[in-house]
Amino acid sequence: MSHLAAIPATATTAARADFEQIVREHSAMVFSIAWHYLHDRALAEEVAQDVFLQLHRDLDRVEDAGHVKHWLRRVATHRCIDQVRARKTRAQVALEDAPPLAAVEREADPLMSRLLQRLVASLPPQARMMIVLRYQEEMDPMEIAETLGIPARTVRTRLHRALHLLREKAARQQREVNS
Amino acid sequence: MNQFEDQLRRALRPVDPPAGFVERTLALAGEPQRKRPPRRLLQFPRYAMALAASLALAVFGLQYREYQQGQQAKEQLMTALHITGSQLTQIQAKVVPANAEK
Repeated sequence: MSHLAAIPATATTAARADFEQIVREHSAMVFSIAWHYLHDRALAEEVAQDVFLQLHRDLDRVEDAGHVKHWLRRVATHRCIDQVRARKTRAQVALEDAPPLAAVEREADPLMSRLLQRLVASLPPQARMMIVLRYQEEMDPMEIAETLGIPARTVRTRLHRALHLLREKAARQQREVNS
Repeated sequence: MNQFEDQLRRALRPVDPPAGFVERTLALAGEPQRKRPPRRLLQFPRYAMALAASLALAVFGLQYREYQQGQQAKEQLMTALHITGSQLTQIQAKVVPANAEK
């Protein structure tokens, strides 16, 4: 039985089909933002579902495909930040539980990737989200600023600091491993 | 693009959501009136409520036991007083006529 059958009759068939298409197309993007930010698989799924359920309620307001992606990124970003603020917890780094990579290509250095994921998880919430949006979503500082609702100059400064911090920590940890 | 940023990009590559994510989301979207309870927010209160209920029962049980023991002691005291009173009455009944004869 199609899951679309369960969607209320008030929604048009086209809207229901659109919604399913949107969920299929963007689930990896929304889930990945939550996963890279929260590092908790169950919580990331919960947040991602909430984002899509909110979209389902507001589907009429979405203008086009480009707007959907922008809308989903923005809502996912704020939901993640709200989660961390509400619980006042740091990200749980349970990387053994890491989900499979969507990309087919294998990682060149899986250990380095895990180290970087751990270091990203240790960043302050806003800087962490900036790094996720910059390097997962390839967003430029202007887009990140718009998504987070802060000045672009602030984004550039904090991204620069966060990168510097990550580089230093990564180098230090690699030196410790090699010594 | 420097090497470090490339490594960061690889580390933060998109990941697939858990199997069945799309189906679960579509199913939830089909239940507008049943608001999904926030999983983790409810877990703690459930445990807390069970613990609080157990503690309340234990406290109530102890208090009820103390109350019962108090009631038993009160009944015993009343019985003792009653017996003592009866005995005093009997003795008085014997003493008063003896004094009257003198």
